[in-house]
Amino acid sequence: MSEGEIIYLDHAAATPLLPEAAAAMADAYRDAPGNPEAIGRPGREAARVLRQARERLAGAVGVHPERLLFTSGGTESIGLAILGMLRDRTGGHVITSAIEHPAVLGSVQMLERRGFEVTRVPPERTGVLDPERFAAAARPDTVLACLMHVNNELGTIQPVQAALGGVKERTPRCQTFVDAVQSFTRLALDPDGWQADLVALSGHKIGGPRGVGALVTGKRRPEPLFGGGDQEWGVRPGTQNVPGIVGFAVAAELGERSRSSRRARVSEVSGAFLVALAEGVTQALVNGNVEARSPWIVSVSVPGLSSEALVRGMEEHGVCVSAGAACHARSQKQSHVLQAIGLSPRLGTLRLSFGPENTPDHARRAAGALALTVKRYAL
Amino acid sequence: MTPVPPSSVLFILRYGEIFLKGGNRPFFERCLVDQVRRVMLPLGGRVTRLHGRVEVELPAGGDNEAFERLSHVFGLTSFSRVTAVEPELEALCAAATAEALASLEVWTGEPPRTFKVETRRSDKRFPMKSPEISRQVGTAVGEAIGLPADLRRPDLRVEVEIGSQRTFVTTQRHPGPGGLPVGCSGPVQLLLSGGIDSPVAGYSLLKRGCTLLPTTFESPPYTGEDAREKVIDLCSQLARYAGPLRLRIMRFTEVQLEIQRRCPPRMAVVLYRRMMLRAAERAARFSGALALATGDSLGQVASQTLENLSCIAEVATLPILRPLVTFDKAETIAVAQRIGTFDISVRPHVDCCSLFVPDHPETHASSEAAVKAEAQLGDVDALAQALVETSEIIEIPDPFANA
Repeated sequence: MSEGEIIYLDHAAATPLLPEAAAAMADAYRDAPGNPEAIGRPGREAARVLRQARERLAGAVGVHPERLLFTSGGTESIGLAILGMLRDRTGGHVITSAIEHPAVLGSVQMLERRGFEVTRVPPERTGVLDPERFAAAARPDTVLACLMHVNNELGTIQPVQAALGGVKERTPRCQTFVDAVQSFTRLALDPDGWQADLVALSGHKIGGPRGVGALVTGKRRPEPLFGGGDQEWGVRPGTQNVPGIVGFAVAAELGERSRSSRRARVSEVSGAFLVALAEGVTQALVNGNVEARSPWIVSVSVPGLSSEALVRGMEEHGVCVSAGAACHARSQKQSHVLQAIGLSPRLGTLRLSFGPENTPDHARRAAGALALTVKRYAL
Repeated sequence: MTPVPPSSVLFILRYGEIFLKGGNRPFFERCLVDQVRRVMLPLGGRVTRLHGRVEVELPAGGDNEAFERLSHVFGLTSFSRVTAVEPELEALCAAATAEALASLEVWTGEPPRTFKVETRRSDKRFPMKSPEISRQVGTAVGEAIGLPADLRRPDLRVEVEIGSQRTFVTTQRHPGPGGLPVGCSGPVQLLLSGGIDSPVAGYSLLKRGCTLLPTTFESPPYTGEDAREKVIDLCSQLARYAGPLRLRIMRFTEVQLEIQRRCPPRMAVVLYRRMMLRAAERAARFSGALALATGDSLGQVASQTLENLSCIAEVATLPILRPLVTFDKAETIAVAQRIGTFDISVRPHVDCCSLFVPDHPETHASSEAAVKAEAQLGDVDALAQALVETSEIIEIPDPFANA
């Protein structure tokens, strides 16, 4: 590996903790060590800090504070939404897409084993779902529809408003859920406009800490999945991670405030990457619809070497990226997302996910590293 | 002999005698003592060579650790914790009785019904003969523990040894790993992959007294850091038997890609192995190894037919040792599990031997076909030389180097 700076292009896996978030967390660890449920003064102080953080996050999301449930992260928020809303039902129909995050597909599969019927709507080859096709899957017994906002492997933006609106039109009583983990603070969030009853968020994708997330709820809250105290209205028992929540709220607030300027910067960076890629790696394919894509994520495939070899080859040049999605990069199977858009398993695929601290020069160096990796190692 | 301080315990280590005849005996013994020192000095042990035995004096309390370590010293046939005693009958009777009672106290399983006293007397100055000593000591022990003697199949065995330097009593005898002490048979260049077989081959050679010079090949970025860690961990496991090792890592990527690009796919595996062997032989000559070694087992995979083995071997002039050549996979796995390499070997990381393997590899490679295919690669000897020159050495510490 070359000496010196590491160019980090894996923000869809985890973002560096914002210094402001880290500072606020340190304050919370020091000044509010109590249990927010405790009666004494330290407890009251912790409860106050928690309340403030909830209000700040609610402000960033644009919902009433009582619509936020804190969890341990995106996966738990997703599981709580899907399994918690249908906890006491024995059957029904669920709609989702074939390119959801494994947290969604895994929870839906658990429902399936319990007797639910599941429709997994495939995406178009562009990696974007046809909202008509999604809505057309709705039936009178459809109880839940789940769709992600931004796909974590391709960066494609899904038409959540049209798709979920279409479902609600056909079956108004159906619950709707959006996984907004990859879009929060990057694109505009609009739970009510989307007609989404539930929205999952995560801390470490937005400059907050790992180990904290939130679920935005609507009129109905999910049923708890385990027993305990009455934290989070009894829906998510267990002492809240107060400092983590504080860091999450600070990152969300800063992120929402700077959303358009960061988006412009990241668009410039990923644009520079695409230009350099087109010049330097002629055999590269950019996956997913160019128009409907978040600038934060670029998925590239090249023939002649595996995804793992590509990632390691990039690392030799100090560029840190993911193969497909970080979560299953080690499994060496082709990802379900790439399979769903009909990509040949013989291609190696990289996911580059940019952040506001990246520069166009980083992007060009990443493209250069990819060109060298392909030149040296592709068969 | 110096008396054993009360805060110490004494171990007597035995080694095979048959191979020790002749003028090589001191050399073998020196190798063995070196190996015993390697594992025992870090525990604060004092190691002394007695006539036909090795004695270790250790601070009390480390018995289990000592047994664990001694079971990794090749050349030992057995070892015992003993009680040192003055060479007098009365003292012998007292010590033997105490040992027997103590061993009954910690006895596990079905309680013993019979016992026997065995005496070895190499110090002929002691005024009684061995059978008589056994009888006398046996009477004392029998009275104390209340069991009858059975000279043929005793459950409890009390050993008395009267040596010119040390007299002792013991009731236990742990089997040693056997073999020859590491260092007495010379250095061998081992081609080590991350698989199950080659570490077992390395173990087998250590057991015959070889020192190991492990060499591995990797193909980054196709193989990752995990694959390298796997080989390092395998070496650490072997280092328990061998002492510190120097692992040579050769970067095989470019050679492997050239073979892929230029040569018939059917021949790829044979050609990889010919190049690996060429490079390993150069490394062997450079570091003074007297032989090469592989984990090959006849007929196990396509590269291991007799035809292919011979087509591969012809590029080397040093002898190629293949300790597992007649092993079934199950036999190899059993050894790998016993020596702790199996769980490491089955970690799911790709190594370069399993990269770019064709669906239908050649099983009857001819020398002519291999030479013809290699003509596409240019100067294969220069390629092999470059592999050695750019290789990296990683020092593998002896896991027993600390307490």
